[in-house]
Amino acid sequence: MAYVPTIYDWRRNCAPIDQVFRAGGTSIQAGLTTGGVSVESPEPGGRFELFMNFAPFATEEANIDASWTISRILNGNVMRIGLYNTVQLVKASSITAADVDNGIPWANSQPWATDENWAWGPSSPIAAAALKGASTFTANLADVGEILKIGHVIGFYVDGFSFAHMVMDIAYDAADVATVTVEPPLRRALTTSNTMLYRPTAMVTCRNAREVMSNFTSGRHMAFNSARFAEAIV
Amino acid sequence: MTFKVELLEALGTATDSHDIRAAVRRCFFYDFDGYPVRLWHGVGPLQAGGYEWLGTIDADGNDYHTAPNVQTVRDGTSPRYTFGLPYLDRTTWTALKADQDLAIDRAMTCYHTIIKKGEGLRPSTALRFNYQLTMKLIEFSDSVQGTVGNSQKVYSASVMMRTDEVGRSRRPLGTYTDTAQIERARLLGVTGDSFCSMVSSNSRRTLTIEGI
Repeated sequence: MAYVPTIYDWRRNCAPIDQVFRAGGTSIQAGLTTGGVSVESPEPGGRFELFMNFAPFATEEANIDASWTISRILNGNVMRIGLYNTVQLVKASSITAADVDNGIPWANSQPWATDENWAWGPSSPIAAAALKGASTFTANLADVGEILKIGHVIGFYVDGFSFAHMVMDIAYDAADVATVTVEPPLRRALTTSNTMLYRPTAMVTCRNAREVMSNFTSGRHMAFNSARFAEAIV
Repeated sequence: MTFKVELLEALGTATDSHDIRAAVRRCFFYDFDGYPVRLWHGVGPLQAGGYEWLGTIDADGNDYHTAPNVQTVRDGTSPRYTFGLPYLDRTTWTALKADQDLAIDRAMTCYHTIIKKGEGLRPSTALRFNYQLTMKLIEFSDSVQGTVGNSQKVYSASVMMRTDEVGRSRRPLGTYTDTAQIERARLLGVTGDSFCSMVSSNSRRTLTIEGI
């Protein structure tokens, strides 16, 4: 009974000014306490959330892209958002000495016609197979060292789908093979031919699209309100 | 370890509900012929008992699966339970609607699963049988929901279920004739039943037994 939705890419023109990734989990209210306690609970699984804020879009291209985007998210489509380079991702400087923060240009140092460079996609190999639904996996970080810490967001690309996870716990052995506990749990089985991505992409649906659409009048700029996305489980 | 052992261990010496670090959830298996539907009361796909169960709670916390509480049937009654299966996929929906034999008199089984901390959505404990109901009636609806510009086509079904106590209070009616008995036997796959073959010749007959 699997249903495969059409997945759309988030337009690079519609970049946010800030972005927060939050791992899932559902809380059970209080219980017999003096109130206010709503902590991480035994509720298994959960979905991640992604919050983004936007500046008003300046260029014509960005406004057209925003126009397209608002229709897509209002219709409940699954969007594939490459996570922007926030502090939640592993810093580029800890992986390579090269200047890759803005991507990698062509060999003649020129970007694409859109002024965008090639995306930089660092990764580490998976050390042992992990099953779907598990919350831990192992990755071999011998090449890069112990750069991954709790709170970082990593991802996978499996079966043509992108998955993002929050590192909740991590333990390194002497050979820098890391046992990583993530939330939400793995959505696909991993094999040693998969890689752990340091620049993950999240598949999400917008939960407040009506509020995101705020101002798009004739001849003026479009502005998005704060957007809340939730993981699309495919 | 079994479900019971795990549950007792999770409860353990806990003195407060916050000390309990195990979640018990219900899994529902609708055994539609050829179209098994497995759902669980949670978020995301659960790997348990060798199968994948789809979570019915969406990102806003709405549970799309309507599952009434099942009560004890010690008094011999068989209450009706109506389970709601909204947002069926269209293939399953069409197949079930075209041939209701795929659903009628098939079983719906509810299991318990216990998920310990750190197990993610892959509990290691075997599922525990909770209850089983028989699907007696299934009703279908397809509708367009939402507002103009934001409309969705929704295929849903509601399934009426009974326990196995259904019909116990009914008197087993039958006509005591040879023809009726042979037909009853034929339905059960027995040929040449002669149990009632002498009934008609013995009717309105007075038998006198000597010496009484």
